[in-house]
Amino acid sequence: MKLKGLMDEAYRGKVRGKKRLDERRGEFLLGFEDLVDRLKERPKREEVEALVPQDVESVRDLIISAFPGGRREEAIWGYLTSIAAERLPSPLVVQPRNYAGLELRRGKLILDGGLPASTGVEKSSWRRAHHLGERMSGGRLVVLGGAGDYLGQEMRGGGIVALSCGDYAFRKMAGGWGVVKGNAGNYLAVGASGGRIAVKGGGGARAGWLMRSGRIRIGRDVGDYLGLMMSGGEISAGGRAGCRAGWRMKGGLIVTEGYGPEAGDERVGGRVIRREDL
Amino acid sequence: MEGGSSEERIYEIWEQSRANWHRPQLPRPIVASAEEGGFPFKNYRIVVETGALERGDLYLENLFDHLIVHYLFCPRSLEMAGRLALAALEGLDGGSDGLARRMVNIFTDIVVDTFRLERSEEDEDKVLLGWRELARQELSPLDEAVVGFLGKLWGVDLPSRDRPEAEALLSVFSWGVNDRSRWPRQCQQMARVLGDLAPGVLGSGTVPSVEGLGGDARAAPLSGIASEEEPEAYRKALSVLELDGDLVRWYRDQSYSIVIRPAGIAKKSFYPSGLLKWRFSDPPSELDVPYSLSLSPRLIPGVTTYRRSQEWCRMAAGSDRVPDLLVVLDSSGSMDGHRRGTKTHAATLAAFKASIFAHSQGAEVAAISFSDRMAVQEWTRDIAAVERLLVQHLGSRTHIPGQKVLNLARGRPGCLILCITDTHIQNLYSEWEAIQEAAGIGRFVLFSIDEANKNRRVEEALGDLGAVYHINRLDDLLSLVIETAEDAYRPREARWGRQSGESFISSERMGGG
Repeated sequence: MKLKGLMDEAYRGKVRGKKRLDERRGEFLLGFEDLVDRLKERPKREEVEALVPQDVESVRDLIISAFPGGRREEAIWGYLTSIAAERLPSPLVVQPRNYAGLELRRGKLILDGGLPASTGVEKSSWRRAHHLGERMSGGRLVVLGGAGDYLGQEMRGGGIVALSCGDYAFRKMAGGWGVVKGNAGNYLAVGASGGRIAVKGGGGARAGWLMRSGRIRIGRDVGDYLGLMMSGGEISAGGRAGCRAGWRMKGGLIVTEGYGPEAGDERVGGRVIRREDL
Repeated sequence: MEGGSSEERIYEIWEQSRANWHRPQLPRPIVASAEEGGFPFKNYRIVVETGALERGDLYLENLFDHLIVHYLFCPRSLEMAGRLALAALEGLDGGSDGLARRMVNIFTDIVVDTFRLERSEEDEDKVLLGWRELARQELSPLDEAVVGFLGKLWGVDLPSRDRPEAEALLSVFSWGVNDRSRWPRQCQQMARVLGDLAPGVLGSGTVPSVEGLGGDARAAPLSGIASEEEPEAYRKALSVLELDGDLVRWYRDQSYSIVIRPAGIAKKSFYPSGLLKWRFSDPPSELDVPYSLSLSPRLIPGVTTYRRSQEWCRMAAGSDRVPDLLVVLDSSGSMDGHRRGTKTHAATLAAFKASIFAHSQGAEVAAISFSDRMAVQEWTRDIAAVERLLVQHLGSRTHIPGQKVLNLARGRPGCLILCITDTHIQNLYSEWEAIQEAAGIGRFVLFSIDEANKNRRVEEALGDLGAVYHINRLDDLLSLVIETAEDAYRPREARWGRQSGESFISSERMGGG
């Protein structure tokens, strides 16, 4: 007697021929918290990618259902947004949260908090998320509102568009481009070694501090210590710079409409010039 | 149902339930009323309350089927129950033991009844009988969420209010319940969803397990959980299961999975058997002259000369006196305390295994735990007392109690002395003579952790004592202690073949073994 016949006889037809309940197939993942539990203390993008479902809709569900708390969970959520944006043929639209677009490589990610894109004015309810587009190397990140601190930090490629940004935007930037439609905070492009940045409004203090390469264009006035200790690259501003622009600079070029006191003091190299002198 | 006849009826139903599940070897149920407080013996735990008898035969069969599947499938073992308990505690994020226990029970109930429902239509009717009865009652939020979720999962009409938690549970259980490896994660997520709801009737009572049913839950080894979790997590998991998971049990459970091969390696040997004629072609040394002369006054080669034939076979090793064991364990501050991966952990685990093994071989065991203070267990056959002493962590500095070691060694000449310490012994010179004398009385084996801090002079001096192992990696400590115990309790004939200094570990070994 064959095994099937033996089992049929043993169970005397009691066992169901067909499954009574539908079971889900695919990678076994029980939601965002489950994903967080399975990852190490400081997970890498590859580790997150290995655990998330291949199906992009499931990843989108994870993003929407998640309520990340704490820096670790926010970073994991950020990786998820990048993974989903890369897999989707159309742009991924999500609420702005910290670390969105973390290590984005391609695709398009739009952070929309409900603000009409055409108005160009931030709503009071808009949440300024930090670390947006951090370490991205490709793709596009569009922030339909103001970004918080560390926008595009350590980015190597791709592009970011935001209405405004907080401090340390494009810190250690090595490539790619960034457009800020409004004002930028302090410490813009600190330690940048490449890339292009355009700020339509004004900039805060110490923009281009320790900058080695790349270009910064600021539409209006800019704060003190512009290009402090910079060694390369170009900074130009449509308005005036504050005091001590180009202080201790070793190389590069700063061009503005005018300067405050002590501009170019203790300068070793580079040029600090007025636009009219060009 | 009345007295004897009702009991017979229950047993009939019980046998029917057993037949439904291929007759598992489980004890017969006991009938008890709530006032009596259950059956007093721990090895018969299936207790049917008298109230359940009035609900009809089908309800009773459903109850028995449910219990049987608990023991056969989920959670089945205490180990799995412990893992579910840990998962529930994590999901509750600091919830009480009682709530975690409730979560484990609810989870296992869901798994068991989903499994039964899936199995056959016959079971479906029985499964739904109990849940429908529950759904008709006034339910707490937690019970309501579970009942509502089960209605959706099974696609049946269970009267209950819709709750948002039901959808979240559905996503947890939509992957099915048959894969055991997924249970802890499913249980954790379920606990996360249900943790804030007010409990009701569901999930009360003890977590079922085969070990619990057999009455040996307090001694059952949970080597999996013990070797993966820290003592605190282990204690909490067992606390959820209403068991005491102290440090002694943590070490003991870990040591269960370590195997020391018992003695009794057979020896191959030649021995003389019958007589044969010695001829010129045979080696002269084989000529048995006395025997040949005893048979004939003249030796005529090939005629009156004889030799012994030899055969070889495996010989059982002869019985040997079992050496008693003295464990001298460093519990000073530099050993780092009872956490996984510390020197204390490796040393205590090794000492536990050696002690339990020696005890099982019939040896008496003594133990000293020392820092600048010391705790002593004199020679005893009470292994529990030794275990309690070994888990003591005294902290502070390292002062080896040489005189005490000597006194204990004098009581049992030839004993095996296992000394496990790091190399920060601060009173070695003052205790040197006593240690040297003790090493002369017994077989002294020193395991010296912390190779980086070794002192050449100390090392040379220690080498004179007996066997000294310098431990580079903590994993080696356990292996070397096991090897030493294995060697010491092997019969003497079997031990002859070993060369001193032989070791499969790369650590340096000095002196004779």
